[in-house]
Amino acid sequence: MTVKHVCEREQFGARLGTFQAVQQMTAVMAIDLEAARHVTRHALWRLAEGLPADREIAIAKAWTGRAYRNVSVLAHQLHGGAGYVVEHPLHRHSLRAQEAELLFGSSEEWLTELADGIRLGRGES
Amino acid sequence: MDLAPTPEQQAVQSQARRFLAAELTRERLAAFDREPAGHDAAFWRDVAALGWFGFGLPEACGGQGASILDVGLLLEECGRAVAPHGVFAAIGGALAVDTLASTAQKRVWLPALAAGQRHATIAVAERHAVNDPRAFATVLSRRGNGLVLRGAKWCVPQAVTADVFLVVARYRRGGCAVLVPADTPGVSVRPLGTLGKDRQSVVAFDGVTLPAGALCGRPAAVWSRWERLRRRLAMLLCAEMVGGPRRRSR
Repeated sequence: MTVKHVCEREQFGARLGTFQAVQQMTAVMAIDLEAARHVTRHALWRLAEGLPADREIAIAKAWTGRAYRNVSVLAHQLHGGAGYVVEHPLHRHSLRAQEAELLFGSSEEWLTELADGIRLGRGES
Repeated sequence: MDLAPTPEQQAVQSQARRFLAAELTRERLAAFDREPAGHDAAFWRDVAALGWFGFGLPEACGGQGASILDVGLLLEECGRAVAPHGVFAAIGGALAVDTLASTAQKRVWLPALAAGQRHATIAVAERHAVNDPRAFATVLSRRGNGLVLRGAKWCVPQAVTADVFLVVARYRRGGCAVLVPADTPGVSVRPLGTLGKDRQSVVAFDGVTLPAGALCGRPAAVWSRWERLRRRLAMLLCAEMVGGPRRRSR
């Protein structure tokens, strides 16, 4: 949605996506998202296979909660005024990101759990 | 480890994507915002007909026996379309009943939950939330042959449409879980205004009298099972979140 927007929207006499700073922001969004998708699917796969997954779950919930929030904040910046309008679906994502990061343990709580596991010597599962 | 979706998983995802894209138009979502439930009855019936509420439940009770990974892939599509919160709440509530409830309770509830005719939700968080059952102010005690539940649970998702609450409470010096039908005398639901478009409520239990059979298994085993379940639910939520930024413009 955001990539399409910056490829079409023109500002300052050029398409937004031709600005390097904008490209950088969409790259950060893509990296956050791809990492979130990988750690989430990895943890779900381990659960489905009946393998130990506590460490992977802590990583996935800590990372994905932050990633969704970061991505929606950057998307708001790139959509500008259009993303502020409630007719645009972006606000639905940013509200859900706020809520989902807190539900079933916040990123901070899962990072603490992960750190405790490392401290107690529970290494890679 | 092969994390690429199988053809079957891709089929479930693309069917869900088409369905949600067709149903959840901007106008429909705006109308859902005004509904106390966050969705309407027609949408709920359509989702039930697709079998989503029973997707991850055992086949013996009307479910489809899908793995948690499969359920996660379905929820990715819900996240992509920002589907009403009730869908996640109902899928999570049904999985909680399947994980924590007694065999007799599952026989009563799971077929209806799988079919989407009934809706269960989880009531665990408290106002002064500490993730430890010994600190809970919602307390279950024995009275004669039955049980009494007192206290209040906060941030209960989708309580406005729930038929049954799976309550994790304090029992003696540890935790326990009880199934409380929403129409039990002494149960009250007060919607909680939240920043998001979710539907949370405070559910109060004012000396609610329950039969001994309301207890979900042995109390001593409940807290560790809840903690395992919380991890599974957190992962399903991650799957929904991962779907969010993958939205394509129409």
